[in-house]
Amino acid sequence: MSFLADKYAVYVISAYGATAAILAGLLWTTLSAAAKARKDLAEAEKERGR
Amino acid sequence: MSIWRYANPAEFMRLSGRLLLPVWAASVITLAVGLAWALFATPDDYKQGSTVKILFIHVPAAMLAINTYAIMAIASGVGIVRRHHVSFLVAKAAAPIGAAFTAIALVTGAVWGQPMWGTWWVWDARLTSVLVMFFFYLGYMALWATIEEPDKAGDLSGVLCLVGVIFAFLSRYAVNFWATLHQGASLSIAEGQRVDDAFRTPLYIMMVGFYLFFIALLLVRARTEIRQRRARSLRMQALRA
Repeated sequence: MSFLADKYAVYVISAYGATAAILAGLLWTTLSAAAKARKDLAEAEKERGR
Repeated sequence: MSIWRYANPAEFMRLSGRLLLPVWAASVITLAVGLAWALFATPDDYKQGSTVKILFIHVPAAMLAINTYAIMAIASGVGIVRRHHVSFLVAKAAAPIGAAFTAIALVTGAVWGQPMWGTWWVWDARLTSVLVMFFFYLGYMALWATIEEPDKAGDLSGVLCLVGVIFAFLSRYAVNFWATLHQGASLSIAEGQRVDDAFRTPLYIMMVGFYLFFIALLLVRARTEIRQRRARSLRMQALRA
């Protein structure tokens, strides 16, 4: 964990933090849109079956 | 067996459904190993100090930023020529992922540049072309969002995507054409090894991890687009009946 103690620590942590935040946002929007689409398609198929 | 059979939505859903779990698992394992190795088992660079650790995310993100655009352009071209709507949907699904990786490349590059170059940003050929490519990603997504009719949206945003290919090309090759502050390719078959062994293996692992993560996200997003199109189609059929 030497990088946490040296003079560039704030840069390394910022870069990894920003990356984690962007990827987490991307993952969340991807999975929530997938769940919504699955539910929406199930409803559309149900409506068609009526 | 022809590759075009995967342009059939049902075939695509069947194959992608089988691939999803193994790809997710492989990406999580590879990224965990790569991150642990990069952060805790690599030495500091003699010039860059610990900022060299930023390159384990910057390099794979920058590669994916450019390659995702290339994938979008190929998918858009195939969609326009062969009228396969799955191609348009794959391009549409790839855009937010490519934009996110481009944003990561820009942000991590700026954060690395401040201590190493003494500035967050310079208007050199590579950085500028990557920024313009990022705007093309945003423009492509905005165009899809503003056109309601999917075929028309696919055609028009596909043309926009093809226009932006020049900036994806420049993002990759600008360092070969002009003298830029940004250094040349870190990994080049033609120019031999430029990265020390201590950093190369974890960098390769991170690249594989990023690519697997990209594939997993792309499959989920493409499946989502296909489901949304199917639901829209069913509702349209119900309205006409």
